[in-house]
Amino acid sequence: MKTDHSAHRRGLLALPMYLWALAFVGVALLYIIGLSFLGKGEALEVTGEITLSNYSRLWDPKYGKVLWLSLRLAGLTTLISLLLGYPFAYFMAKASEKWRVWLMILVIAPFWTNALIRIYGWKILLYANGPINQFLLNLGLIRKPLKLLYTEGAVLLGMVYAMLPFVILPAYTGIERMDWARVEAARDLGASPARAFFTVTLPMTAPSLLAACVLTFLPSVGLIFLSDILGGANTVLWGNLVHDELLKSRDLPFAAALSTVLLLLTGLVIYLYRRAGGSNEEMVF
Amino acid sequence: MQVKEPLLTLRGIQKSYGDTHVLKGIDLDIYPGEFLTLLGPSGCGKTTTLRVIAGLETDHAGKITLEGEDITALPPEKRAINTVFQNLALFPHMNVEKNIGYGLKMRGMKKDEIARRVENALSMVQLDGQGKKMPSQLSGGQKQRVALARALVLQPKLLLLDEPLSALDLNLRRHMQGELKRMQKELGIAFLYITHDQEEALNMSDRVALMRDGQFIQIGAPAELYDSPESLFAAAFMGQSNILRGVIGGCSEGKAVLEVGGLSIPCVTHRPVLVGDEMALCLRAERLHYAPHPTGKIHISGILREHTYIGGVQRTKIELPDGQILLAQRQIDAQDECSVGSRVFLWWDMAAAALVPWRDMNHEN
Repeated sequence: MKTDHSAHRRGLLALPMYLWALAFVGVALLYIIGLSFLGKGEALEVTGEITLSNYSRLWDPKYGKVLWLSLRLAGLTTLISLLLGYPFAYFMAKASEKWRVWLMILVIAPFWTNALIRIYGWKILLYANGPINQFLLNLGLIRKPLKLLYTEGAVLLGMVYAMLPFVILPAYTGIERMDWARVEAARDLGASPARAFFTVTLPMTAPSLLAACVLTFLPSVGLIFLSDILGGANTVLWGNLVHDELLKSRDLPFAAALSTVLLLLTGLVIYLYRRAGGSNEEMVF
Repeated sequence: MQVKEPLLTLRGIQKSYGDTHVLKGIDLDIYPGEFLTLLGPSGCGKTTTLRVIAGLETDHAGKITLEGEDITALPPEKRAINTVFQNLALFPHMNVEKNIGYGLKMRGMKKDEIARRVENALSMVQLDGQGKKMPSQLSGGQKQRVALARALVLQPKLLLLDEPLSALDLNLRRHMQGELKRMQKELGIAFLYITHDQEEALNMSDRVALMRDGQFIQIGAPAELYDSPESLFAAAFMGQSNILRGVIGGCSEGKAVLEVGGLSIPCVTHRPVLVGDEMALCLRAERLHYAPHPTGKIHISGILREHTYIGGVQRTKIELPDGQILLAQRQIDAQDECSVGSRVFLWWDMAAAALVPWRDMNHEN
């Protein structure tokens, strides 16, 4: 049992962290929210009038479509990353010490190169006359090159590729920390290996999976360069909208309003996450 | 020992982890309805033995049978044996009812039947009305009961308990010992209980299997182990013993004289001994008596050095002429007529002191 006193002390100890967050994150966010209520001036400037027009512009179905595509792709990315990442993390946690190190290196190695370079790598692979199409043509599986690049599928592939480590690492931590005696207890009480997995292992690692979902879903909604490079003009996501408004239309207040929408969405997801986790001590954040 | 078919047999069980030989070919019979305790210091292979019986260890040599049937190759879920784990291993994401009903659900039992049996199990462990609580809301003793109910509700033929009370404080521990024993008698289920606490083993068991270094040292009723240890290890592990090391100076049918530091101590022996054998006489502190004047056959005297009082018990240290200190223990009843510094004469019932070979202590690591 934690007493009020110790909770108070912990709060005090965390004070520098709150100040830091306020100075570097909070102020910037408030600045953006503030901007979104101002009018557009010359170039990147703003006018002093306070208006809701930036938000009323959002009712255009165009933006609804983009939001829906962004959420759908982020959701699919999360789901696929989870389906690929969890088994990998499970295997890694169960592997011998020696294997574990190598698997961990496999997961972390991509971080050692620039993300853009890796995405261009995918682009080369996906070209109409790229290695994948060549391979399939040579095997005789297809007659003419498939359109792989500049599709939603290509963006999804790139996003899963980019996000996979963010599923594997929290899932691995959760599985590795789990008390295996409970799985043994399930077996002892009559559960087959598969039933023990679904009734004990999976629910007990659920908090880390939930964290993995949030860590994957939120960045996926805001990614821009992936859809730029692999999706071309066909796949415009919310992040691309912000980018275009800022750098092409030079409409700072509207870009700020678009960002604020993303901010609200993030807040909502984190709120849902905290609620789902309840008082669970396994919560990651 | 009554002539009964054993419920479970272990034959030649060996188990290694890497280069460590944890079980060195053990044989054990467990009889229906008995309370058998595996007793031994930590690292002696008790838990591994239990895990082999539960089916949680694969890759071991030897054969296991349950009611005559070979279960060596069966996975844990196919054995009519359940376990109360040392850390209890309750499912934290299920409430008490779901925890207890888990095994029944795995057997495909109908919901209302599960509910009925869970309720019975709850009242058996005196947790009526607590079914909706989560494990994290329970006290240590309550968690203990849930783990017990979760295993017993399946009516196993054999229940394995791995130091189930080790996390409880002393009072609760004593209380739970009594309750475990009561439930075991009522249900008539055989219990295989693991502990490193010799007092717990002696209090609860029908038989105790003393284990050391991956082998059984001695298996028998608690009184047998206590009164007739067959080795120095058994004598030293169980209870408070005085160990007198010496050489056999003479022997005849069932009797021997042990030469200890200039003293000749008469002993009875159940094993054949030869003159010159190095032996140890194990004398329980509560069986060692002293008086201001010589009594009986044994004429050994020493100087009374110290009295200490623990609860209702008086412990007395007596120094022999060669400097060895013996410990005598007795209930505090009348005024002790011997005072510190005085010469006292020792005596004991010769049958109550066990003569064991000295050598088995030598390979102590």
